[in-house]
Amino acid sequence: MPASPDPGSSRALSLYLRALWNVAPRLAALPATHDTARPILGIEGSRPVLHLPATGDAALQRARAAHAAAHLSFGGEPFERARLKPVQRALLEILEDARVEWLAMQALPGLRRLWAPHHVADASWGNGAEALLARLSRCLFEPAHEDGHAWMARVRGLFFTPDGRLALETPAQLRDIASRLGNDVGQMRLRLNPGGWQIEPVAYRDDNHHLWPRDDMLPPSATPLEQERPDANGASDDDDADTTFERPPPQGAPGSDAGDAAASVLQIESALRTVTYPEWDRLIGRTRPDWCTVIEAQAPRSDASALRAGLERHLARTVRLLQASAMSDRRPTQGRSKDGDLLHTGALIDAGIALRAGRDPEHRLYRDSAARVESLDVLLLIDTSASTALSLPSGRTVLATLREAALLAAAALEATGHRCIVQAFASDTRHRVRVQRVKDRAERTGDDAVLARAGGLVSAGSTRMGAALRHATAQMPIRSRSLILLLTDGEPHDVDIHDPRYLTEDLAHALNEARRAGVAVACLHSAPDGASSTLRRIFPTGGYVALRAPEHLPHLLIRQMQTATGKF
Amino acid sequence: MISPATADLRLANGATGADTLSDWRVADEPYYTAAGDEVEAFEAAHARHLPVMLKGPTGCGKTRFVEYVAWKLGVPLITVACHEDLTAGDLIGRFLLDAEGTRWQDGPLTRAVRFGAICYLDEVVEARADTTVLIHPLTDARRQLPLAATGELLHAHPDFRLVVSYNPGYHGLHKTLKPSTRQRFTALEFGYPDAAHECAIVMHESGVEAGTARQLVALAERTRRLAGDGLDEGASTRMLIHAGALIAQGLSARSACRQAVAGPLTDDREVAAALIAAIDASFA
Repeated sequence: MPASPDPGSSRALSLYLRALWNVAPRLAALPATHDTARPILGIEGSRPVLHLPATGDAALQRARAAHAAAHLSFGGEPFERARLKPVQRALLEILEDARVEWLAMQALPGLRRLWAPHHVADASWGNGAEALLARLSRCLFEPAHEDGHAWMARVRGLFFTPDGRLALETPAQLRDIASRLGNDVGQMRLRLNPGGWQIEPVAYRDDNHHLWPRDDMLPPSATPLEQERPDANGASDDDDADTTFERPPPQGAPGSDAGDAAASVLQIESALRTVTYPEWDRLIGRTRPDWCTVIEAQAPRSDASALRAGLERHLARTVRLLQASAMSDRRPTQGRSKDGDLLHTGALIDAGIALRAGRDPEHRLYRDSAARVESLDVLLLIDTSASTALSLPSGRTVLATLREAALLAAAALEATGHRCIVQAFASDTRHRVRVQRVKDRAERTGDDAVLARAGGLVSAGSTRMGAALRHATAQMPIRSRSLILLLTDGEPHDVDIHDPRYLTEDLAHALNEARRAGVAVACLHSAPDGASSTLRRIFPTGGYVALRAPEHLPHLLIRQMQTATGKF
Repeated sequence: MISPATADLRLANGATGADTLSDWRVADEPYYTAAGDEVEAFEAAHARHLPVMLKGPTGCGKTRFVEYVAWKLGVPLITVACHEDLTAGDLIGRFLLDAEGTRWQDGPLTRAVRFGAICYLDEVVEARADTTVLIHPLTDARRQLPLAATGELLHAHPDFRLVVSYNPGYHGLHKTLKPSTRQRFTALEFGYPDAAHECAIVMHESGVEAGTARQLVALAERTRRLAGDGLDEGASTRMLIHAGALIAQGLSARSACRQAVAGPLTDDREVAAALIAAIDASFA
């Protein structure tokens, strides 16, 4: 199990909660170091936050999330703490847990299967206070379970009506029963460990601190939850666990990042245009409108002779392969086709002759509607972030490799009748996402100006892929087959974002938007440390390929083009 | 060299007359329960020869509605499922070759125009743009269809009506109807039926008990919350009917919903995991 829950499973969990309860708590990870940790649910603030321990398989995480969602859906105002002893409060928590779970299972009976494996306490656990409370949890969860203890039967009688419905509807009733049962426990001469129970009998349930109002007399927790969980005692005696934070928007720091052009690592000489795009903020579960500023400029020029040599070395073979692939898609019909709108004159004459000669006529009687191979609009988007200055095992830098691959692809696409744009991107905070034009649609890849601009690309800045992708999508012509090919060495990253999942989830949303706009997006990845599991996961099947060497480019390109043309 | 045999054909077709379309009549009353006044609305448009566009998510009952009104009005119904390779010839017709020579064969649209039927173009945005332009002269006061290949100008039969369906949800920017096309239609908006209605439909079509139908409808409601985030659209009524049919056939509810709902809805592994977990939670 990784130290933090796999973002993938956390996305699945978010969707699960939304589908079943229409709740969207923010999911955060508790550190893995405390393996007895219970989930912590924070309900103060504008959006609930569910802190999940990092340990546990998918089913346990789901059980935890489902229990927290039951609280969110069926819970009420916090209980007053006044005059309740610890044992009474522990009982009230058990009753409330059982109540919300019972209500949840009315609509979703399958939840019983999810939670049942964690309810295992029985008479063999003994008659200690904690064991009795664990046995009680089970008896309330599983009305058919026979525990044998008279007190269990008594609690059940109070909790359920004779026909199996909930007898306790209001907080006042729950509170009343809890205090009466607390007295029972007292009379049984049992003492609850004052620190709460150390043996958590029902592992998926949260620490229930949200059932009680905040006590301002207690000192606030000094450490934010996301870095450090309250210590083991604090997890149950949790009145002081301060989870009322809602983090500010991740780029909220005023002034410091607000597009300070002079200090930026990204040089922009003369901006051609500036466009703003929305960005997905996973913390609020919404899109922030007009959040990222994309500045488009021409790439500066530089010497290009080495580029031309590299291009010429591989181009002929690439074009040949692309042409061969295009030809294999087309049947040799001599302009005749089995179906079509217009009859083929020559075919009719042939057929007439065949009929008169008593032979079966050819079936292909129509004019072939020719354009079987549609031309594509392709935008090649090169990542020029600082990390592309690293060297690959081949000894060349990542940027040099990506640039050569892009030029080769562009030249080969042009030679086979497709339209192609080449651009490069890098970012320095959301205020400064730079997109450099290397080749426009009207230019040829072999032009001196294009090669000079490609040679002028330098590695600097970060990788805000979502904004760059939205800008690319916006440029694709409507009603065409279009493909955006992202050439990159890394994963989404920017200096104003410290949450590793934030930009990745934004990229996933940008990909989805592109798909809905009918634009296929594929990713060619080339990095010193091998393939990227993040990119592989968020790109659709077949949309991500690791580029190991430029020689492999033609095959990968053909595959991506076939995906793009076959897809929709 | 091509000598259109249109005159002969017309004679042949004319001889059979109204019976030509007997195969396209809806014989038995299709099961349909109105959600609002859509039947009256359709009948009003029908009475005034107005073309109708049915908008709504997939599997919510648009096609069933057309079958129902065609049956109710006693008009034949010719349905064309549109796809991106649908050409003008596929709709209008084309010349075929037989032992005698070439012969003109009416396409479904031409047949409806010539003999009087409702022509229903299902998912019309899927058709190529040059195909949708064909219907323009049929949708205004002219009500005529020029057949360039035979040199014929067909005047629509009084019973000819044009109905198209259209799912605004998932086509994206590239696939929308041009204003010049869409403004020729009157539009009826369809959504998923309300829960009670949908239960009744699922029970009737699949043969499951009321309790199971209610659970299926509740599950559909849950998946529909994910539309736009994870899913393009939630589970359709049609999917519920499929799931119900599998359950009626003896499959467990969970297996049936995995097969008929989770599988068809998504290929995304994470979304699929969430859907399967939601299915597991929904059934005992």
